Amino acid sequence: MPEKENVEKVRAMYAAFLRGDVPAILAELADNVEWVVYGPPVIAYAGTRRGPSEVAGFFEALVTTQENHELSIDDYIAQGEVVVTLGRHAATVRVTGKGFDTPVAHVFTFGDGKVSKLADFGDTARIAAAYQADAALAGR
Amino acid sequence: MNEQQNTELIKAMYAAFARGNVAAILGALTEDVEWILEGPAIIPFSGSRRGRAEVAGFFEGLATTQVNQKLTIDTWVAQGEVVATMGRYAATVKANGRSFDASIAHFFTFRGGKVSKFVDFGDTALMAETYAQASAAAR
Repeated sequence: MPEKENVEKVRAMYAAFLRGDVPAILAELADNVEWVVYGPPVIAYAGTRRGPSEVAGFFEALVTTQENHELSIDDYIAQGEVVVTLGRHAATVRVTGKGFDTPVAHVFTFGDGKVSKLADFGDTARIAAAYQADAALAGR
Repeated sequence: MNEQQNTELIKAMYAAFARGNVAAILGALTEDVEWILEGPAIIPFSGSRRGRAEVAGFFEGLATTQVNQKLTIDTWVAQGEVVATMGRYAATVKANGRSFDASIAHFFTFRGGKVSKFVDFGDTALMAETYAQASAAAR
């Protein structure tokens, strides 16, 4: 069963993220990886990307629009080729200065030892609110 | 390991939800169950609840404000005392006739054969926007 190996790979990817080593993450992805982050377009890194070069754009959007990142993963649940993690992601959106703290769930699907799909869940309403300027909110 | 048994219980809970039998769902929860959907207050079933009586309020929030509910689960992941599921949840908001179709993830933690914690993820921005929209008929 691949669970243990897959969990170790996911842990290594989080460690790479925390030290800002995006190439190490991209190297674990399948050439046709599907990378899905749920949420409205106001969230700079939301949407569906395909392939490592598009996924690089996800990390660029995170890094260029946020600061004070904190990602903590509390639980790993693995069965077969799927690893699911649960934790929290907090950050400050640079342009608005607004912070958010959201629960996150990441679903990694593996194939041939590489990540073939990632799905990213969070409280998208809270993240979107942090990306929206107050004036825009008042106009709604 | 209880993965198989826990997964069967979650399947039975979804089946109960599909036929509107909330009592059967509540019967599968521990007395002190924690039930969490982090999201804005405009979503009537969001928030943190504790105990079966409060969880009944979650299902009341769903049933009284939505119609045409459709829950489809396509991924099951069970390890130890946790079952995670992924799928979609679609519904129409009664008050304005607006619909949403959101990807969801559910996490069930078991204790003594009952669900002691449930964490619900959805695209809360999409759901909140659907609840906030004006009536379809009014446009």
